[in-house]
Amino acid sequence: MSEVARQGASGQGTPRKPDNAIKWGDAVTGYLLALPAVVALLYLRVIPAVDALWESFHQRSLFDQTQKMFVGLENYVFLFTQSPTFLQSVKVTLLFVVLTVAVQTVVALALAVLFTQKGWGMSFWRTLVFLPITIPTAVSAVVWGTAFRGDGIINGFLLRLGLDPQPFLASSSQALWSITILASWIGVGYWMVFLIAGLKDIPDEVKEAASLDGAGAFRTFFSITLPLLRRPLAFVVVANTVANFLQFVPAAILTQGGPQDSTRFVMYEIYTQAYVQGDVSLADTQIVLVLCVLLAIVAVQFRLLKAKD
Amino acid sequence: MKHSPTITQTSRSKMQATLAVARLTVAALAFTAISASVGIAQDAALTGADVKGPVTLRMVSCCKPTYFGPAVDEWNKANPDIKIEQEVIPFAQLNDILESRLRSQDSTFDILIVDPPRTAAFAAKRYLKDLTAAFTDKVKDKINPESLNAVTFQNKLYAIPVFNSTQILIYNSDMLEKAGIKPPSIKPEERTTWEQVVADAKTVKEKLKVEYGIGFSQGQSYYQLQPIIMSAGGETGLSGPNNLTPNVNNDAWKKAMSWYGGLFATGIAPRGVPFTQMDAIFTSGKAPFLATSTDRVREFQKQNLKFGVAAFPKFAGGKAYTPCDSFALGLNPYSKHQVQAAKFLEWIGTTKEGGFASAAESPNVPANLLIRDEVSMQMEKAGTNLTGLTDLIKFETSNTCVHRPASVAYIQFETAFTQKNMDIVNGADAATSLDAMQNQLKTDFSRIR
Repeated sequence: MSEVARQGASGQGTPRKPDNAIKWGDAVTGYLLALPAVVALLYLRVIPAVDALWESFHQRSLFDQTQKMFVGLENYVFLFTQSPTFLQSVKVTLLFVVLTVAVQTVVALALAVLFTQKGWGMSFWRTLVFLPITIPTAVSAVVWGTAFRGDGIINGFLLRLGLDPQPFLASSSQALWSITILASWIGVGYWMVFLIAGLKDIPDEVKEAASLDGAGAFRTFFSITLPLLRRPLAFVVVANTVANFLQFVPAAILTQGGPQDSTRFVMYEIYTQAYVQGDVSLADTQIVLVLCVLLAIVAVQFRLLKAKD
Repeated sequence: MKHSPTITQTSRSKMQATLAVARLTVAALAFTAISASVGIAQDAALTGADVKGPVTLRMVSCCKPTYFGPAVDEWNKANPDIKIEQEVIPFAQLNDILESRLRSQDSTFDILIVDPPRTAAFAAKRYLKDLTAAFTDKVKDKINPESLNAVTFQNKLYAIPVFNSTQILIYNSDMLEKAGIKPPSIKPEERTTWEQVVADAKTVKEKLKVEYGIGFSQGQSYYQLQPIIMSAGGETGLSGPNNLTPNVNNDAWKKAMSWYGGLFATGIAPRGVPFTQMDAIFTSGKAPFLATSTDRVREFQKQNLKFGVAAFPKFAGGKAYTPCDSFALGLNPYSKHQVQAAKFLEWIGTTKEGGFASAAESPNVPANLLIRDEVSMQMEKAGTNLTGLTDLIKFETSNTCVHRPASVAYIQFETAFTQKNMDIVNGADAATSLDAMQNQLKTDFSRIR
């Protein structure tokens, strides 16, 4: 046996220096592996965010985008005191997020529970519910837009039932709900998958123990399943909130923010400012504000999750 | 004395720093001067004069591949050294995409489609190459002066008009006959009124039990509504120096838009159906009238529909107006092949061959005077009851044509109009919506610097 092998076999006499060298080498490898992600994060997230913050204190000339002047907080003041659309877009977005996250989470949870039961063709139904997420959002929007038309299939169905046809996207009181339905049709299957994974992680023994203790299905769900599902559920709520806060396609394709600004989501507002009005500085100011709101939402939700631990 | 060397060093350092700043300033000034002179030189001349060998140009077009497709194909056959590839973008996204690409000084395309009322904003933002020197003599007497006027900003020509347009009223002859209604006249001097059209539409709807009375092909747009508003006594909506003062909530605007909203509220016009589907509403026999542009004539002829054409109506006691202008082609100021691209523009805009090729599949009114009447005549002859169409097109494009306002803020104006118009169509009060639009425009325009 060689000296080195002997040292290795006995586990004694291993010099400290080679050990440190290995750890240092591991660290270098780790850093190198992380480097592309860090660079991408910096380049794609951090630098644009800092750039948007810097830009928000300026105003560019509409006619020469290379010319800009420092205006301090003027853009922020404008948005909160003069802009005819910004506060409305924030209100609409918050309402939409509350509605959609509630609807999607409850329905996704119900479907996840249903599809983890033993029964015929469960995989098929699960795939069917998941399918809409594989369709591009723009295509889904066009399909639903046709269905929501005054002479569309939904009104045809309502008429068959003897009910009055509805204006849907043409009504300021129904348009947001209509888009909630569309967004939920797309999103429910996706979020359901995370909840199914969470449900499958719950050990059967725990449920069996509850059953032996005389707990019924209802009690088991609320006292065992739901608490143990807290983590995937929290992820679904947080990720879903962020995703719906950034909703854009249905407004751009179906309603252009109308009727009467009832579907003017904040991302559509930002897009309009940047590419229709050509006011990049104001769009960047809105981006900074959206970023702050999203960070606050995520922080609060993670804090709540931590507090429950 | 002890500190003298330090003082001396400090002074020297300061001097060196001052000199360095001075050098930098001089260098910066020189660089600015050079850049400026280069900029002027680039403005005066077209790029690509020194390029030898075959080139492939990229053209950003819009709406339908057929608008410029036949012309591009014919050009490519005859000019293998200057090949053109077309990239077609939907009209709704055209402005946004061009804004984004030109702002980032994208040089990957050479020719762009230009919507004439956006010329002022694009020219002011330096998104279009100034074509005055290269084209002024070439377009004279060959392109409709009204069309040229629409792509001219501060006495500089920024695009070559290819199409012009006007509006007409198309009717379903069979439906009118069955309902016992006399068709409206194609003659401008016998132009019918909106009041009469609505009354007839109601009669047909009730007698023949059809779903609607009239459709508007571009009823979401300022383009189609402008002549209606102006016939009610309104102005363009923008006035004052540089057309930067909105005036959209006066009585005439409110009257016209209330009337228009009323058509949808009473079911005469279809609410909840996208305006892109209005042609289908007419062609499927769900409405007897369609207010539309002349390019529908040949489209409907191809579908073997039986229809008649009337002059675009006016309000009783009001003056007749029709919208005009249509797509032009401009040069990307960042293109490396402007000389080659200009050759295509010259061919399509100022020659008979180019004009006919552009009109082959997109029979809008050509802006090219060499072929305008011939194309109109072809359309007239292809129909059974279209006698007078050529004269109507000629009359409208020369006498009732009203341009959209030339303003650097036109895009904001048009966007706000479309949004408020859609609100009115969907049931919002016209007066309240126009008041809101007025305030919105004032606020938006206050940020223009």
